[in-house]
Amino acid sequence: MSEFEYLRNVTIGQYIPTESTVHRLDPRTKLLAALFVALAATSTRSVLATLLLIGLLMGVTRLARIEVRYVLRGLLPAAPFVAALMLMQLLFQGRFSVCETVYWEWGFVRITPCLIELVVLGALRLVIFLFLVSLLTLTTTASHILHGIETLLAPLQRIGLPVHEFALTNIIALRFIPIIAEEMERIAKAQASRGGDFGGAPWWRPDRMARARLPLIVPLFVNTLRRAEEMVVAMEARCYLGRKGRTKFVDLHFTGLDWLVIGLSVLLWVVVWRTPWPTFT
Amino acid sequence: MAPLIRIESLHYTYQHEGGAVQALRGIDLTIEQGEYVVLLGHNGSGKSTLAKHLNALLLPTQGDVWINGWNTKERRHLREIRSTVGMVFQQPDNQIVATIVEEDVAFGPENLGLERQEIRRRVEWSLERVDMLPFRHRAPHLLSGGQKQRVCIAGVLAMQPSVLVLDEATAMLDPIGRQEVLEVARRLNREEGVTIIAVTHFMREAIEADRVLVLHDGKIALQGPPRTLFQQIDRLRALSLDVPHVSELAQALHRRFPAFPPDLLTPQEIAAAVIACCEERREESGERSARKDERGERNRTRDKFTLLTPHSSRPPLLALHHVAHYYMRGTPLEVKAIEDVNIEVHRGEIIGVIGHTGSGKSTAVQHFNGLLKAHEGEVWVLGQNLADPAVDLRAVRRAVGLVFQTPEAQLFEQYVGDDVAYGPRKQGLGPEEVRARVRRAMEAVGLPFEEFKDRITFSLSGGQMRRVAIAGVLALEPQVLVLDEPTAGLDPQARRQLMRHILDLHRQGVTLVIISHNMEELAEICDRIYVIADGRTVMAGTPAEVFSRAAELRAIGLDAPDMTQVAEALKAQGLLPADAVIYTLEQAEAAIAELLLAHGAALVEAPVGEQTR
Amino acid sequence: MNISTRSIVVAGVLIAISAVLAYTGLGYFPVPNVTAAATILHVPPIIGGVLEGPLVGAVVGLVFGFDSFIKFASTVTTSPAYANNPTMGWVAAFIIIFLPRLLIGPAAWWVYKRTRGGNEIVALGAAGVAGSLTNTVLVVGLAILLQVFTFEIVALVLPQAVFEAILAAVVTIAVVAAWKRIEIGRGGSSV
Repeated sequence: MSEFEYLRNVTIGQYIPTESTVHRLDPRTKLLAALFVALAATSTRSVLATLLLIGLLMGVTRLARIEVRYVLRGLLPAAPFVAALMLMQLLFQGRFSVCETVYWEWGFVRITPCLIELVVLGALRLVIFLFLVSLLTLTTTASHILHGIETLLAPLQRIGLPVHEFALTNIIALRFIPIIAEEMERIAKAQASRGGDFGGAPWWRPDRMARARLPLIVPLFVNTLRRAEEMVVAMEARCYLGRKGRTKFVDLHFTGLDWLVIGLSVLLWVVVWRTPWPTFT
Repeated sequence: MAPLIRIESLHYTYQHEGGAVQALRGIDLTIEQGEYVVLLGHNGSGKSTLAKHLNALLLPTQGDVWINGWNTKERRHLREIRSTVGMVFQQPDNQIVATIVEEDVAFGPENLGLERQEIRRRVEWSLERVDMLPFRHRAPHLLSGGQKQRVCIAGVLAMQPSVLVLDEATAMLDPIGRQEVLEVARRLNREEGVTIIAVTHFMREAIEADRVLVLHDGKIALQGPPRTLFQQIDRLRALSLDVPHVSELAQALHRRFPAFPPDLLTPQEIAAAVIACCEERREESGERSARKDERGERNRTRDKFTLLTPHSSRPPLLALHHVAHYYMRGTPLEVKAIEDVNIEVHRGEIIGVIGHTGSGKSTAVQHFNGLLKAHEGEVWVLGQNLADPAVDLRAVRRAVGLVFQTPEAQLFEQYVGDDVAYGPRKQGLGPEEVRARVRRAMEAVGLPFEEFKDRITFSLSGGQMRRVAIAGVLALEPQVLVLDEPTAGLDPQARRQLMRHILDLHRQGVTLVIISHNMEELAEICDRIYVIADGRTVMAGTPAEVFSRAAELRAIGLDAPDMTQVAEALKAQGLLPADAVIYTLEQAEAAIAELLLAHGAALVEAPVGEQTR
Repeated sequence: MNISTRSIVVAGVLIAISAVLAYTGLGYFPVPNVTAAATILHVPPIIGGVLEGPLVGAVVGLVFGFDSFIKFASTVTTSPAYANNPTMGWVAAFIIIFLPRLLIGPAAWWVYKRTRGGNEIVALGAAGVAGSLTNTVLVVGLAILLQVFTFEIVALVLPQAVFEAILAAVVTIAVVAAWKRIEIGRGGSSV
């Protein structure tokens, strides 16, 4: 692989069309279900319940005819980040931890069994969130997700929030991501051909670090903003005059299965929330 | 009934960098339903400004524009005007809004507030018209340039416009993409009665038109049907346009043989005219038929024989030997970019590399300075094998300068001088040496150092920015300069200027490798040409050798130069010997003149005095 | 609300730039730090605010905020203060993670508007610093105030905050000056 292939990392969370039942669900259903699973995950402080939820997500992955291993491998790059968060929680949350046993105390750092349990819980909860995002993007095209969000948020339009504009903004963003990634690769190669590298500044000089990367960042922004100017003209030439008088082409349909899935995920939330799960501390 | 488009004494002035620019200075024009009009002009002639007045993207400073009787100044008709006059612009990527083809095509009808059923019907109808229906669920970024541009056309068609304006819609496409788009425009004009207004600086695209308008300095300088217009060669040149070789050839022949028609527009027409002249004679004697068969035979045997790279005894300066490269290697998305590319470049040569978009030619040349590493095969640069970890890649990159497509996109410094100095400074040279190099590099591309070094980079013209970018590579003082489509998107004037500077560099000892779609250009300047198709080197040889295999080139989606096409047609009739080498205007003129003289019955050569008119 | 086509498109492309900078790692700078590298991911909202006003700045920040929410919501909701109160956990997470990101662009816009009377470059730098500090100061401040982290975390975050403010200023000046063709004041090249 080449040092310039920036898009390579974007394979995580890509849509895999296995045409399973999960794929065929309405995007709104999947968004709502994800929301209720997230609510369920935050409604319990039990590590056991959280692990069960992860197990459930693995089950859904199988149902979507996607290898669980594939999803887990996609989460792997987040490991250092998760570790860093755990360390931060361990160092800076101890003082708020009310616990009879204290393993170790030094200054503001206080390690207690309760805290350790919460740190582990935090890490697992993050895994759930990342898992949900992967599962959603693996089984739903990005454009469907955006249409789902737009339709779900549509009621907010009535209270004056610019939901249509927000959705269109995100569609344009999605449209431009591959274009910009490609452009970035080309610019990086072109500057490298002129002997450029984008580092080399000492760590205590952020201004020089930033400056070393300007040959990449400035053209990226300038070219992209120029594209934006052209896009504005092209959209207006195609009669885009704002939301007024517009109709929508994409049509989303709920089926019985959709209602069932939404109902089940609400039920899951209530059950997880109401069950007195065992905790260690 | 009112004409579809009526423009009266249109003036347009805008503010730029503190001064007023008069882009249009009194345009009067009427266009009727069903016309095919081509608007020609160099950059800055006002042609795109005029086009943007046709659907009220710009409003006249003075004068009026009426579409279907609606004045564009009246905002209440905006939606009607814009759905009557659809516009397609240069960069397809900057026009496609949605991430799924059919959703993008639906964008216009959605804006018109149509019912879902009607939108669906129109989306299908318009994708069908541009032959893109099978791609309706695709993501646009996975399509080729020509396909994307056709999606843009479908997006406009879905509003069922009476007029389709193509505002340099073919400028950034490769020859195949250009053909695709023109074919669609032609069909819409003939079958659906859509009025076409094509803005372009490619003279060849004007051949299709009913009427051609040449804009210059904000005014209509010339107009008429292409056949009459293209005969005014000197006048067109004075307006900084390129005259197609075909027109030049027809007129050169007409000057010598007044009976030869001067107004021919395509290689096929020339060939037909020449054949017609010869036929008359042949019918009289019938003597040539035997010879023709014999020639046809020779033609066929020649096709089987494969050309080999003429190997020189000297070691090459650059060489790719059986190079293969894969993108996204080691991921499930791995794709083969090239699989067996062989190129050798010797000191002092000009090498052309041709192949259609996606053939792998750009990938191949990125091996020359180590940007990409060969996954298989060997890359040799200045006697070093790049697979050797001891090779200093920075030194290689300085020796082999690589200029990317649209290199102006890489400029980043506020001042021209600093941008050109980026490479030398990264190299750690002293200020005096940097200054000297920047001066030499800028002057080599025709940008006087004192005048341009303190100019703001981003306010230069497109052609100037491109030259700044090339100077940025030249400042490394490379021995070899590799240029990927150096003239793409430039107007003829800027293109000629840039090619002149590039050839000057060669005269000063720089070895050149040029990727281009412009066969005429390559035919004239290259020592040798490599043809890449589907990731492999499929042909190599002198321009004469490569272009003599026009049929094979066509089979891999490439066109031979127009002159070669004329010659091939004549060879097929046995009128020219199969081994005649013809790819430039001069060669074609000489060969055909000789042929016509030999068949002189129907043609009288003009007196010498008139020839030099 | 009347929102121009330009605002929609500019916000869209800036969100796309954020995404690419984040995915490719080019938006991060290696700084010795426990949490993460210093980032310039708050620059797109700043530029959105400076070029197109507070709404565009806020929308670009919103998407950045959503990404952060997925990353940091667990840390807030499992902190000892909120572990037993999921509702308050969500509220705290929204306030600490979303709110500051929403305000990056508007803050940059406000400072830019107030200071641009003088030197344009100084105003751009100030906008960059303001946007960046809005992010770090509010996130850390609110986290401490709402008892997610102890006060001592400031020591950890301070160098990063300073670095990010400088990065934001340099990048904002360079990008906006190039785009709007504002002279940085040297009056010419240095060759």
